Amino acid sequence: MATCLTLPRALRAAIPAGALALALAGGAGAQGTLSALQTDVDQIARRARPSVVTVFAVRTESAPKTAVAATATAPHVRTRVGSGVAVEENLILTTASVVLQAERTLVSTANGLQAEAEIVGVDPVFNLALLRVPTLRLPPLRFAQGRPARVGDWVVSLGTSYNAQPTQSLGNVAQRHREPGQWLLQLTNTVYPGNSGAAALNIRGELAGLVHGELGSPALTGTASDGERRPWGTSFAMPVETLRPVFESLKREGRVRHGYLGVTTLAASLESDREGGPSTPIGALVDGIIGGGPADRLGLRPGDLIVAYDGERVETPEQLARWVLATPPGRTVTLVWVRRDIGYNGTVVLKESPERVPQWLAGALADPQPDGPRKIAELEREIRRLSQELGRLKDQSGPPPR
Amino acid sequence: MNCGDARRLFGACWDDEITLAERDWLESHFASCAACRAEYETFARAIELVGSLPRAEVRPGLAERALARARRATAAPDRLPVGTPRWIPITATAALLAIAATMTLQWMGITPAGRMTPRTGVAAVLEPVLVRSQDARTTASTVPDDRLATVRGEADAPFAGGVPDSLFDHSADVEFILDPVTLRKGRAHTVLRLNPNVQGEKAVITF
Repeated sequence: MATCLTLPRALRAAIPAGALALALAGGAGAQGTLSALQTDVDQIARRARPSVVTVFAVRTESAPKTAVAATATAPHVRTRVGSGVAVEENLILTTASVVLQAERTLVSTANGLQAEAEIVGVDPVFNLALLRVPTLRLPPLRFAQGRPARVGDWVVSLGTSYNAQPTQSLGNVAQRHREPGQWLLQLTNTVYPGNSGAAALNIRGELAGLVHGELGSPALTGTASDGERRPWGTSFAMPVETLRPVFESLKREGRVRHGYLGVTTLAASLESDREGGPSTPIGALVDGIIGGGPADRLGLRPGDLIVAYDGERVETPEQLARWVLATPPGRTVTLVWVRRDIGYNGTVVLKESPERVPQWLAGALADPQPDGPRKIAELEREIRRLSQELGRLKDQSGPPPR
Repeated sequence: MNCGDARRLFGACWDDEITLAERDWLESHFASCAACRAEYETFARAIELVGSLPRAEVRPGLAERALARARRATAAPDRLPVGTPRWIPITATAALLAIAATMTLQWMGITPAGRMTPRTGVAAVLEPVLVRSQDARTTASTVPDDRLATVRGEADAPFAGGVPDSLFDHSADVEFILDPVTLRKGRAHTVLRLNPNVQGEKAVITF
């Protein structure tokens, strides 16, 4: 009987001790989890680092004319530095912004090798470039398999920055941004100058995306008073589901085939009621129609205001143009436009853009036109717009009284 | 491990809930076992198909009602226990002994083989190699870090003023690229480099 009474009492005393032991064991477990996380991240980075390279794009440019020196000074060499990822033994993906207009491109590997690279293809719409390095054999990174990256997935970004030093950060997918024709992942990883073209790896060490950049304009955000750009904290990467088709197209043809609508557009906006208030962009105003193009077949006319494309609200012509270019030719899209305050919609099959790189997107490739012809073209457009407006007002007011 | 072990990992593999070592093992198993590879592909297709099915709408509160019914069906009879079963103190004592043993082992630095210890048997890391020498600079197949800056700064190097050698001390002729991305109304896109002739509100774009 005494034994029966003593045992439950001992058990009661043992319960707090057991709870303490469990808490301590839990702490050790948490430490083990962190240690495992560190081990996994180290392993992913160690395996992938040899596939990440530094890209140097060199170009000679003439110095701009200044007030002091009326004539341009001697040309000097400018170097753009970014990161790149080996996706095949001698093929490297990077961003178009790194190699745009480069006369010579070189890559430097993590183990100190340097070699000349040739540009296989550049696409400014998707901001991607493919380089070939015939003299190097690189360990390629595998494109991510399985489901697309989801919000919350862990991402390890590997790139290079100043002095070609490696950079690495751990973060998550914060958001997935969708636009017609492409996706962009918003990451919590910190990225650094020179990280354009860096690798975004998933927890399996596969290439989940290619880092493009960070939030905001370099002239505004993350820039200290001395002009030095500081890490900002929100980064963006092109996910593999957008990256892979572009890579395959660049590899196969050296180019990406873009959609074509056959319109010329102007910006349209509503002015604020307040004096000096901000104007609100309201769509893409059709300025001209290319005969025989998809827009012509759809029945669009100059003066129409395109307000939606493929279910997405259009605010600016540049936005619409980007979406059209990112859509593969042959795809059927829906357009919504407004003509004399009446809404219309219709579907059309996009054609293939006749230009490899659209002229308006050619960056600083083309020399600026002289002021004269540009001014004349602007005036002609203004006259055309005023004539259309006058015609519309005349139609609304009806025939003149006798 | 065998095919059965591999198939037990399928669900966790699809959900990215397996360790790198398990993934390595699974992939090496797939390489040698076509049946398991085919089984996994079928499994993945099935999951994708199920995911693409339209979601059936049910009346609100169905889950709560079902759970409540299940609880009622399995609830113990509403009466006081007659006595304490004998196995409870024995199990509790055994559990305490097991916890004490685990803590002692950890304190002694002995951990079970697994996540706490560095993994062995992982694939070797491959390094870039030179296929054929291109010029004098690239023949230096492995340049020590301390010599790297010197090599890059050679007089014939294409870099303006040599590659910068410190974080905040770099030449104005070297630009480190990090593209700006705009975020507006929940949409993000990389800022495109426009032709200078088409910038501004009066820009005319043909596409």
